[in-house]
Amino acid sequence: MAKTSTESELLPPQLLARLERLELVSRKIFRGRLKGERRSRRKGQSVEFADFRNYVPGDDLRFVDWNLYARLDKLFLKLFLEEEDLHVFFLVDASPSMNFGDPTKFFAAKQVAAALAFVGMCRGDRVRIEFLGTENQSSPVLRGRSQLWRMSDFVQSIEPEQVCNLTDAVKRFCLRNTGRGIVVLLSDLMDKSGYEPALRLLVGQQMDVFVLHMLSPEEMDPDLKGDLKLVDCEDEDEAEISVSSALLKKYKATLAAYVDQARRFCSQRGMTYLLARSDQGADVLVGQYLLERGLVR
Amino acid sequence: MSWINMLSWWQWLIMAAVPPLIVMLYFLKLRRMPVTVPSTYLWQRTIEDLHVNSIWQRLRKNLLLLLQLLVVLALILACLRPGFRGEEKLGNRAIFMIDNSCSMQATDVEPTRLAAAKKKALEMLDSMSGSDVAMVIAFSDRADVKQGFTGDRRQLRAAIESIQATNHTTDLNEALRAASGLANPGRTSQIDNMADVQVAEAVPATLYIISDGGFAAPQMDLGNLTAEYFSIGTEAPSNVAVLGFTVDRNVEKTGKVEAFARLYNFGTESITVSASLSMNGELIDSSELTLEPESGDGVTFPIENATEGQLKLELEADDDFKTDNVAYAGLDPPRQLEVVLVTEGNTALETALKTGQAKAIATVRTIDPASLATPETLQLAESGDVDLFIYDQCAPPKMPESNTLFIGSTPPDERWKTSEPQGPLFVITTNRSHPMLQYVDMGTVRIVEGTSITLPEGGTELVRTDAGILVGVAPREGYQDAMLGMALSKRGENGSTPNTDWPIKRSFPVFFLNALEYLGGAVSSAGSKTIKPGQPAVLNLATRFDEVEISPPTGKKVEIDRSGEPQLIFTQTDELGFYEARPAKSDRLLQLFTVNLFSEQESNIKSAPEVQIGSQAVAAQAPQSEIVRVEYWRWLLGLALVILSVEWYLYNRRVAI
Repeated sequence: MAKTSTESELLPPQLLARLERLELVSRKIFRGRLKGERRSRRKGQSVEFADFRNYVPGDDLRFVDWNLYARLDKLFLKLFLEEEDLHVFFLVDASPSMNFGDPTKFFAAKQVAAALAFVGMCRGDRVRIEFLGTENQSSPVLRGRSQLWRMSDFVQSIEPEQVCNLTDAVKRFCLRNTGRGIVVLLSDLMDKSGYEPALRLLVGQQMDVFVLHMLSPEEMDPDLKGDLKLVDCEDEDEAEISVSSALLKKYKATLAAYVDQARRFCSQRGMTYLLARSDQGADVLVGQYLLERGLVR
Repeated sequence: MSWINMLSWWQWLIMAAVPPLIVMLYFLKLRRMPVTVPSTYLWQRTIEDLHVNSIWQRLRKNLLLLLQLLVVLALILACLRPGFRGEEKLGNRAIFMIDNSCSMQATDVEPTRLAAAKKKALEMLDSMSGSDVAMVIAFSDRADVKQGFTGDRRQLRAAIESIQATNHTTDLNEALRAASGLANPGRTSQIDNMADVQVAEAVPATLYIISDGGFAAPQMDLGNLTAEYFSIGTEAPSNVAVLGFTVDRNVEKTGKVEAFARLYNFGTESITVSASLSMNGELIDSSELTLEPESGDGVTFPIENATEGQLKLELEADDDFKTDNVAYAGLDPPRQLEVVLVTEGNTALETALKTGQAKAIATVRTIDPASLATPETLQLAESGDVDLFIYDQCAPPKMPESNTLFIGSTPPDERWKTSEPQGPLFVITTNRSHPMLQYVDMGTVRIVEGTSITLPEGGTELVRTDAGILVGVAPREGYQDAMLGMALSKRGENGSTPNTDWPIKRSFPVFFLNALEYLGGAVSSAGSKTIKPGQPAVLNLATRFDEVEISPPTGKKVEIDRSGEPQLIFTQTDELGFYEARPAKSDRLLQLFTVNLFSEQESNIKSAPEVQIGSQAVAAQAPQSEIVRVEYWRWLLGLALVILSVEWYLYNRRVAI
């Protein structure tokens, strides 16, 4: 079942050093709550010039461009870009099906979530990690590098839960977090009721959604032989198979179709779909794979 | 279509239990190993795709079961031996009589007639039903029971396959006697006794004679046997044969010999053959002649400067039977016997030893009894150069190193004893079976006076009179001594007076010619003796050789210990060709004889449409194909094998989930 052999450090120091140089990329500009390091759509008080507009009574005279007034004899107000913080949410699927593989998909997902959270924290983003289960377990809002150990302790304390429905869990998250931001969903999407409603909910929140589809090597390339009775770890469902090359071929075709379907679903709805193998380390996943695919910069 | 049940009831019970067993095993489903996986979601979708067409899938699921049942069905059907045609099976008791005589080597049927006959018998064996029994007899001029009555197909098949071709002629009598042993059990020896009963119950049987029909009608009642005749061979084969081959020496011209062969064309078309004569392996003459259908011709080869050798005549003809295209003849050396006659003078005796035939085989030297004690004569007697000493009313000081014949005197050997002369004597019996008394009739011979002989141990009585043994012969260290217990004439002061009227009888010169041949070991004609294959060869060899080696054409020498017997009978004469008799460990040729087929019956290889057995004519059965049963069980077994292979392939492919 759960492979705990690779209880290696969640975030090794050398990885942290690499992560410090990265930042999370959002394709959308969201309104933050506190002043942060990200440009906001709102005009504000940063040093970066944005635009001019006509003066209307009541405007702060400090922002009137007096040079322009001297030249044109008209009052114009200088607008500056506002820099705000970003809301970043990591939703980690904590269903028992994630507890497979070596290392487990769950561990890999935790590691990736922690690494990305650290990237966000370093950039002053508001980071929250939430584990989807029967009762979602959510971390407090994390901001700043100093929160690393708090985040790390939280993440390591979570174990896969009992069977839960992905849609319900996502719904709970959406009800609690109405603001905009980036949502990274780390899941194997193996929900028999379908992953689509859950993703639709996230899209409905108008969030910038990244779906990190975690699959273990055992799922992508099953090493099975003989006549077997496959038992689903979540609902005890059984499937009797006699492994043959034809069957394995068929399975791989089904898996490829499934992945392709998920990718299409996401791209049609403006979500970013990323397939990740659980046996790839966090350094490779974050430092290379996600970098190449533009989740971090 | 007909069926032959091959299994007994309990075997059927076991067979019937197999299909339910397979079905049962199928329902005892495979115990699969449980493996926990993150989700069966994708697997279910994979399987679902394969389950789209559920009826077909169900069928595929059971495909292995269906195939297994099909295999068993094919095997069960094979056990029933389905067949086509040949509905009439053989009777309960069948006797296969297969002709393996010389004519069965003919090649007008591919590959040979014997092979065709064996094939036919094997086919008939296949159409026997399970409870039938059969026996196998191979016959030529003798019967060879290859297998007694049995139901074991394997043994019968092996017996039929073991039949080998022979060079023998054909005679059905012995085979019929062997076959009828069980079918027609004889009565006890008291034939006239009305109260006599049959010793065993008669069991009818069917006789299948598989032959070319080349045999004389056997005089025998079939009784409870039902004969069926299967003709092997074609009705118009081509064959040309040597029916006779002799060689004769020209008496007048030394060294001149004539070889004469009689050829016959048994075919329906005229044929030109080339006859080549070779001597000791070297071709010396050849002649070409054309033979009209169903007619014969003679061919003569004059041979110059030939004294002895082995002559072989070969016909180069493209006919269907090769064995009779070769003939062998031996040319014996013109050896003269050395005979010494010791007599004071006996006209009758000297005349008997000077007949034409006697002169042809022996040189007779006459010496006076007075010279018996001279060193020259003693030396001659000890040298062994003389083949035969004839002592007329005299005896040597000691027995010579030769065969002897004493007339009216007793051998100087204490084992021979004679009584006082008495007479007249009347001949009671003559031992006509002995070579010395062949063609000799002494019943009318009158004898004035004679003695009764007491023979040494191992002696043979030849003529007995009322007084006792008159003529006898006994062995002595490899030699033969004969004694005639009466003088031919009595010598008195007034000259000689006859003691018997035998010299004027015809049997007298015959007796002395026999004596020369037997005691001298001579052969009378130039050509050596020829016999038919398989017949015993009777050889009259000089008795001083205890061990004789005979070299047959096969080359493997046969050593024979003749243990003093005057005649040597050699029976291993199956091969055609030359047979040489030599003393053991010596190169001296004692006698040459040849084995030749020379049989019109065997050479006439025309297949007979019907055969006569006793008073009953048995026609050949209809063509072979009608009786042959076409068996399908081999096909069914093959089908089972194919199904099994398909099943194995499917099992390995695991198309059924």
